[in-house]
Amino acid sequence: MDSPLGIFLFEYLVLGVVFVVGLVYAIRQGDVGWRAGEPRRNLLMLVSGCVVYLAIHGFFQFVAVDF
Amino acid sequence: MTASHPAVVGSTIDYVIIVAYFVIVLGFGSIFGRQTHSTKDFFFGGQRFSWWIIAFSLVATTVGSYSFIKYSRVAYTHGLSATMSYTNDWFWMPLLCFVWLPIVFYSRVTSVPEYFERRFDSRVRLLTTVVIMIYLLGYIGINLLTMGVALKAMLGWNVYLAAAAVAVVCGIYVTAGGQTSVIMTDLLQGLMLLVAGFVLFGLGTSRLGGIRRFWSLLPRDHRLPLNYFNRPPEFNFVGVLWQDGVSQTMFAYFINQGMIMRFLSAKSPREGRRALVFLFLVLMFLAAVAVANAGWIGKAMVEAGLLPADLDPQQVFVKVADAVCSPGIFGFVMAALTAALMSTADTLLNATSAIVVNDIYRPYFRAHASDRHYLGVARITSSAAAVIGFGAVFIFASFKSIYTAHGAFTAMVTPPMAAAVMMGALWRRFNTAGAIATILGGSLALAISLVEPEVIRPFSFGVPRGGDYHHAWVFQRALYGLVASMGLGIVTTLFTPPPDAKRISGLVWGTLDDARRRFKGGEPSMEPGPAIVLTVDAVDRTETLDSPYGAAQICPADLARMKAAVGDIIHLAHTNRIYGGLRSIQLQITDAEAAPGTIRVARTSLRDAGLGGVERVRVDKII
Repeated sequence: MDSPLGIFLFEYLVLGVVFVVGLVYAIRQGDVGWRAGEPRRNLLMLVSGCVVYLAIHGFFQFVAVDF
Repeated sequence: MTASHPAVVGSTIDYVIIVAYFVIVLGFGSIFGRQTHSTKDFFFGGQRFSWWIIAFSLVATTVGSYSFIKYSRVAYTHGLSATMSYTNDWFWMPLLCFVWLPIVFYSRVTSVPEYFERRFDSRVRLLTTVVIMIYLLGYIGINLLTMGVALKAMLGWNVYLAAAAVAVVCGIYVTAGGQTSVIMTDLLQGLMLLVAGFVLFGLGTSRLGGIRRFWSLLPRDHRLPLNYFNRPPEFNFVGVLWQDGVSQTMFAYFINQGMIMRFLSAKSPREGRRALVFLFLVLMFLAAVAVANAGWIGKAMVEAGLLPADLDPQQVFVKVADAVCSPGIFGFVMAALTAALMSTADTLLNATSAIVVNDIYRPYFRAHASDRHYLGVARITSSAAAVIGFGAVFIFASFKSIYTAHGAFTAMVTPPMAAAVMMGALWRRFNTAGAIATILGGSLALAISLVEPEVIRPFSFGVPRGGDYHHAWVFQRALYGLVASMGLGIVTTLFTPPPDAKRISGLVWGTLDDARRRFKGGEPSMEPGPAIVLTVDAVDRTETLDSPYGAAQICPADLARMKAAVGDIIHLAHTNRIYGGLRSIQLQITDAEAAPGTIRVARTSLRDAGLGGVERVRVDKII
């Protein structure tokens, strides 16, 4: 577990659970989803944020470390 | 608190800049406080602010006085992983934005204790009020003491004099203007601390020969943002994840009274959501670099032989600032440190005042006084909180055991409170007995862990016990506390009757439409529409202009353009967006009688919004 990849996976496993649980609640409430308009915008916003975090963490954890 | 002090640094120009900064903040806060006419203004800034003002003020509140010193030290010792505490918040966005924020906003919950009374009963409210008051007053004292110690170390100021200066300045502008002053000064201070942090980073990398040279000087394991899975005991990935990424984040954004008041000062939940997106995606990353970079620069300077190898990590921020900043710039950076403190302290003062007025004075001493009366009490309470907070500085400075006790108390109540709020908001079956079991039982379980730390071992993920008896597994305690609190709450709830569905309507996930209905006093209109610009038709108050919100009239064609109808709540603002909602007000459309292209509003409403004499306004629908 004490490897950069192991730690990275652990981080996104724990916080991923938090995120997905929240997402399920938001989807069931109707504020987030595939439906065109605000729900889809909200879904894209939430997922895009995750991608940004993944990209930044991933870049420094696996790429920039060897610059 | 007893770390050895470095040699005093700073020159006359630095002192002048710091004093000038105090004066500017005081003036800034006092000027913007003139628009405070009610308790709604004093505690929630009139529910009118735009996302960018909320976001910058939130970052200033989040970065505390200790942040520059603490995270520079951690960054010097552990590298980029010092940013872990600042880069976990996004994953809470779905729960925060689509469950908690709408509940708080539409239910008009003014505090967590009030939420607990409405969701459970008055016993739970009393319990949480006591807990939060101890936390808030102690935290004000700790912030002031930390600031005093930092300024003594850096500029040779007397600890108590520095703490008193900050308490007086914050006390004056918070008492004068409440939340509006807090938000506007925090906007200034948020910008200030980010700029100062990046000035330090720029000067530091320049001294080292550029960003590539800086990066190459950092040891390889210092370049990892996630590192040291379960070692050393005092700073490890898994501990920080559970402590900061889970428990503290829940506490900070779901329970912290200052945060809740900031959410409520947004003009709508949608605007609050935008603020959080910008905060988590942009500002928190910038803040992490701003507060930690002195540690990275310090490490690189040591590697380059520009600083001694035996540099004390506790002093790295001051040493780096002194080494790379010229006179004047050093004063600017020190002023940013002061900004970090004041922007936290002012929020705490305002939050304390809100709890005292809304959760103690109003329910237990005087229930049906005028709003003007409560506003007066709020101002007195703000001043008193500053005085008590300053008094706590003497206690914390003299009795280290009390300082430690407050830390232990905070660690003891944070996970149970967070667990109670989360289950209260997400689980309709969760009842009063469950909430009491969660808070009291969870706190008891955590108290046991202070006496017998071995109970934490199953949650330690292999982290060595470390520290003295009371500081064993200091990070892992949060996970243990969350599991214990939630477990007790779930078991107790399942063996006791469910709550009355009507009573908790609007206060729990799945019932938000009820909250929206009550907020508006009618069916919610959630279809977003564009903002439009209308000419003001100012009139004296008439019978048709009557609503608890203050009323407005707009013609049917203009209502159709903004996808609104009679009965909807609208936001009326100055056309210049630079005001960020400072000159604005929420009103209700009571009639469709106005001429096309105009909005009919009472002069008193316009005056209260700071829009007296304004010819055109920007109007958009809230709900």
